[in-house]
Amino acid sequence: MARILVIDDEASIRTMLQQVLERSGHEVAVATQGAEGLTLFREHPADLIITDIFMPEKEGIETILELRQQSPQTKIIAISGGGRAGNLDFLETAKNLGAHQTLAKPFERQELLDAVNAVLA
Amino acid sequence: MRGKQKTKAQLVKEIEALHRINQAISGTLDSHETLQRIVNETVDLLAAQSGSVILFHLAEGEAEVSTSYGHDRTLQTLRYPLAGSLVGWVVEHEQPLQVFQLTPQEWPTSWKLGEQLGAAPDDVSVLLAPLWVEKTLVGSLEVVWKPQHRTTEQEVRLLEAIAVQAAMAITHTRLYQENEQALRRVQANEERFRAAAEGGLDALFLLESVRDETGKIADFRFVDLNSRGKQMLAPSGEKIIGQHLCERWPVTRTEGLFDKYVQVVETGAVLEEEISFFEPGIAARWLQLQVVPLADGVAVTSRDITERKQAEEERQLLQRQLLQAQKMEAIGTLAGGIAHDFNNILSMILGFTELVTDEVSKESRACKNLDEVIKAGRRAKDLVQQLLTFSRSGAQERHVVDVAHVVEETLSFLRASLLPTTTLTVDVDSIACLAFADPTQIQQVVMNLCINAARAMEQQRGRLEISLQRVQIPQRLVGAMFTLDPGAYLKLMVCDSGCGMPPEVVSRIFEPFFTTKPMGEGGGLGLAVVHGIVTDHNGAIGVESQPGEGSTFSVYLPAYEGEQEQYAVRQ
Repeated sequence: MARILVIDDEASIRTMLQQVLERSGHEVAVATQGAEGLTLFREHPADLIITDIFMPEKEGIETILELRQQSPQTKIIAISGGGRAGNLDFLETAKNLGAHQTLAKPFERQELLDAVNAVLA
Repeated sequence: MRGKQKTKAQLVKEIEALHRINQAISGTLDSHETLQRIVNETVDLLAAQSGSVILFHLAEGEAEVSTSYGHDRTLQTLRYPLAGSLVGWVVEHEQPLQVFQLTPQEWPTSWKLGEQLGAAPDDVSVLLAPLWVEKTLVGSLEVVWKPQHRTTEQEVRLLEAIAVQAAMAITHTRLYQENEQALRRVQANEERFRAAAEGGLDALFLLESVRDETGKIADFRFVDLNSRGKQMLAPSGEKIIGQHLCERWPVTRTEGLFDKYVQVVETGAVLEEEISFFEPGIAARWLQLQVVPLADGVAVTSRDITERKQAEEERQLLQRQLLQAQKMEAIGTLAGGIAHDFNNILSMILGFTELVTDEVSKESRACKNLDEVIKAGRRAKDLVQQLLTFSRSGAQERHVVDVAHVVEETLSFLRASLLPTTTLTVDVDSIACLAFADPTQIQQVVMNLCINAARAMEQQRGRLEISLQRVQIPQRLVGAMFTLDPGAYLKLMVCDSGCGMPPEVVSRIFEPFFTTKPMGEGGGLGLAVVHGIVTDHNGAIGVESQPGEGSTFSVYLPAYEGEQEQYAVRQ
């Protein structure tokens, strides 16, 4: 069982992810964007952070960079519905910057749980 | 009549002299020579010592000794004022003048003349007859006797008669000179025009009408042409002038030029037009024509504007390609944006459906229905994935790929799905068909093109031809749908004998969601995905199609030109 922080600007996605993860026995906190996520993380450190990439204010790439500095040992899964902008692949970038796994939306429950188990193993 | 009756001998002498004067006039157009002979004959005939033709310059108030006989040579071309001279009196009175004895008081100028003649002035007699040319007094014929001589009425009349002849000679000469001048002007003009015509960029032909017995223009004959014209029509130097236009170049009739020339002759209206001209065996040419009517023919100015036209066409083609590229880019951006939102929405649909599935019995109808929702969500996910591929948003894994192998592998899957009525022909050049590419995407290109071709032949027996070869594009290739830089390419052609497409479909065939199939039979993304993949690989795709005759898709992918050993070729 792990403590997982979900950061996504879409309320429904947050709710859905929270329910899926909680049913698998994890303890889940949610944040609506990067800055809020980082604050929450400082107050209640998590084992794993699942963060969206495209978000208003502080987006995912920046959030990952800060998390890596603050807590290098924390596992990160980056998720995104958009692939690339021009030649830049955001999920690929997130992985290069320290995300342990990436998942392209839409993913199914099993894919998510496999990714979570893999990074927490 | 005063004086003695003429003797027969005198009369004969006069007639003979007048005859010689006439001969002199008709024998030469040299005014000086003619007048000289007139003066000579007159002096002889009248048994005088000297004679002159004096021309008047009335505007300047001067007289000029034009021709003389018996005088000192220095008198020739001598100019002196009319006022106070003997000829001045003739000008004033417009009559012949007889002077028995010159006096210095009365005729100061002529007095000096007398001095020049080396005579005592009072020893000199003068007879002057006016010279009339078309009612204008132009000069005077002067005869001088030394010693003095009393002139008779007969001598006056004779001099007057000779003066008429002299005036006629002057008239003839003037006409001749005017004619000569006019001719020189015309020649000079012609030379100027010819120089202008020769110096220009245009070919110039002068054509005269050749009419049949009914008066209808049957052809045109070349009257003249400049060197550019010769260059254009007879580069190897064959004779053009005198040739019949349509007889020599039947194509001028079939291409409608003859009719245009006839129209110009008949209406008298100048024609200016740019025409395309096709002559068998010669590349099509564009000509800028100006056809101007002549008396019974035309002057044709023709400029070869083929290069300009080709440049214009190429520019328009590039402009169309640019517009198309921008349109595809815009659609791609839009599709990418939509895809992002769709993916989020699909995440929710799939995620929540799975959560609900947990809460219903596996055997229940609700569970089955939720399974359907999940299946639909997965289909939508695939569709968005294709959309992302089009908008170049898909992840790629590129390396040196043997495209021939990818094509053959894809065809092995495809064969099974083809209708038995379809004949498949494959011509793949297995040597040196390497490209730096994503094999999965190349497979998708081949697959989509083949599926598209197979669908075009569903209703009939058909032929599907697939070829792959390495080609060298030596210079920039501007096609109807794309432009390729020079270099080595792999050219994949997928050719079907199916239903074909009209031009309005061809022009939109690579747009996402553009489909000719009924609603629900296809998303219209297959060819858009192909386009996205090919352009993302720095390649190009084009299609040629005729309704009822099938379509040919040509894909150009940059060939890998490095050493094969440098990369492990993945198959």
